[in-house]
Amino acid sequence: MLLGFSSKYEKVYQGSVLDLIAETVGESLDMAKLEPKDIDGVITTWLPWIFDGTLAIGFPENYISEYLGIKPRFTDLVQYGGASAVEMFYRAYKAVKSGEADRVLCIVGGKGTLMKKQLREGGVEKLSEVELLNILRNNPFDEFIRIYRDMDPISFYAMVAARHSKLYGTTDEQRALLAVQQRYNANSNERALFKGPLTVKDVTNSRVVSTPLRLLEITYPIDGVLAFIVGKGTSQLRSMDIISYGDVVWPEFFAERDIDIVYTPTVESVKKIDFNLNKIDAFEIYDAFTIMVLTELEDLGLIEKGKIGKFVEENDLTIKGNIPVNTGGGSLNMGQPAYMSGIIVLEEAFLQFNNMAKGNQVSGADHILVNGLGGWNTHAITLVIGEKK
Amino acid sequence: MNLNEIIQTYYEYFNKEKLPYIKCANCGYVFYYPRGICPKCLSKKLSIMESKGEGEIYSETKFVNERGQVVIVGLIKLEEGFIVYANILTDRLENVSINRKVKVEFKEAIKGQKFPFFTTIS
Ligand SMILES: [Zn+2]
Repeated sequence: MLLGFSSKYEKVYQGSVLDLIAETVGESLDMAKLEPKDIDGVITTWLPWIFDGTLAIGFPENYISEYLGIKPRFTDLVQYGGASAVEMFYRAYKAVKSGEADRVLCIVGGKGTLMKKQLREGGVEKLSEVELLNILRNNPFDEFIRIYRDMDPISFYAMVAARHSKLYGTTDEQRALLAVQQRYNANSNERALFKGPLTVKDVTNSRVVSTPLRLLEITYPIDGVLAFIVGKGTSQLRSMDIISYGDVVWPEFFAERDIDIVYTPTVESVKKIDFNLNKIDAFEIYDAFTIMVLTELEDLGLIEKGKIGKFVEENDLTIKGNIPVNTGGGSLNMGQPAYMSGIIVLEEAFLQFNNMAKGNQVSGADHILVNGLGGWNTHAITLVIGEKK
Repeated sequence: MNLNEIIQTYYEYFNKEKLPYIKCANCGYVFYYPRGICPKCLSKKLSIMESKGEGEIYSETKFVNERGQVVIVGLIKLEEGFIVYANILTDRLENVSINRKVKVEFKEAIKGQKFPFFTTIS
C-alpha cells in the first residue's frame, strides 16, 4: 500500500518550497519506480505561510499538480493542522481501496520559518490591528479572540500544562523526563537535527517560554516536506496495511468545550480503534510540546487521566524500554516542519515498519500506533499500522 | 437580531464597561462568543444578558513579550457559567493562578473600542 516516500528537513531551507516539493516527490517516485503520469490522486494541506510565505493561495492541490505535471482524477485538501499528514495517509488508503484512485501522492510541509521572518521584518506588522483582524480569519469569533496578546498555539498548550499540574500534581520534572527520553532516541537517530546529552535539569533550567512550558519542551520550527505515495501494486517496501483507524474533530473554540482542556480529542479517536494496545511495538505520538505527548498517552488509555507523570517515571519510553515512544526523538528533536509535526511521527512509523530506522530501529516493529493532533486539540487521528496477514 | 447586530451590541456594552453574554430562551444554554443562533439547539430566541463580571481563573499562562513585559493570557470561568479567553492584568504576578477570583476590567484595545480584560480580586 505504501509505495514510496521521501523527506527533506532543514533548519532554514534557502530555495522555494516548490524546489523542496519537487525534490521529495521525485525521490518518492524513484522509490516507487513511478513517473508523474502514473499518479492519479493528489492530497495536500495548506496553512498560511508554508508556501514561500504566502498568506493565501487558492487550490493548493491544483497548484502543486500543475507544477509537477500531474493530472489527478482525485484530489483532496486535508485541513487537520498538525494531524493532516496522518489523516492524509488514511484518506489516500481509502481512496485506493475504494478505487477512486490507483496511486495517490500525498505532500505535506513547507517553509514555516518564513512566518516568523515576515511577521518581524515583512509588511504584515505594518498593518493596523483592525486591518489584520479583517484579513486573517481562522475562527468566527476572531475579533473577540485575536485582540488579546498570546503566543498561540504555545499559550494554549501552556494552559493545558498548567491545568494538568494543578489538577493532578504533574511536575515540571515529569514533563522534562519525557523530553529526556525522546532525546535519548534522537541521539541514535542519524537524521535527528537536535542531538546531544540532555538531563531533566537541563530542561527545567531552560528558559521559560510560556509558563510552565520551557524552551526544551517546545519544537523548533524548521522547513521541510514529506512526500509519500499510497497505491496498488508492489514495491520494494514491506506490504503495509492500516489495521485500525479512528479520527475525530472538536470544532469548538476551546473556551466553549464541554470537556476539560486537559483532554485531547484522542480520547474519542481511540474508541474507534479495534486493536490491543499492549501489542503495539512502537508509539509515534504527536509532540509539538511535551504536554501533548503526556495527554495523548493518557487519552489513548495507556494510563488513566492524571497519572501520566508517575507513568513516565516508572516506565522506560525509550527505544530500549518497555513502551517505545517517538522512536526517532519526535519533533522535539527533528524540528517541526511548517508547524506540522504529523510528518515526523508518520514518517518515523514508515521507517520503523520497514526496518529502515538507522541506529534507532526497534526490533520487531510490526505494529505501530501513530497519533496525530491538530489545532488547539481540535483534530485527532489514531492509526494502527501493520501487515495484514 | 442578526449576527452583525449582536456584535455591534457587544461593542456598545464593552464601551459602557458591561460584560455581555447570551442566554438561549429555548434550552437555557449560556454562552459568550456572539452568534445569531444557539449552538446547542439552533434557536434564535436569544437574549443578551449582562454578567456580573466576576469569576475565577480556569487556566492561565505567562510569557514575556518582545518589549520585555510579562503578558498573561487566561481562561476565565464567569459565575454565570461561561468561559472567556482574555488577558489578565495585574501588578502582582503571584496572585495570578488557577482558581483565583477575578473581575472584569475594560481597556481600550483598539482605537475607540474597549474590550474586557480581567484582574485578580485581592
Ligand atoms: Zn438553545
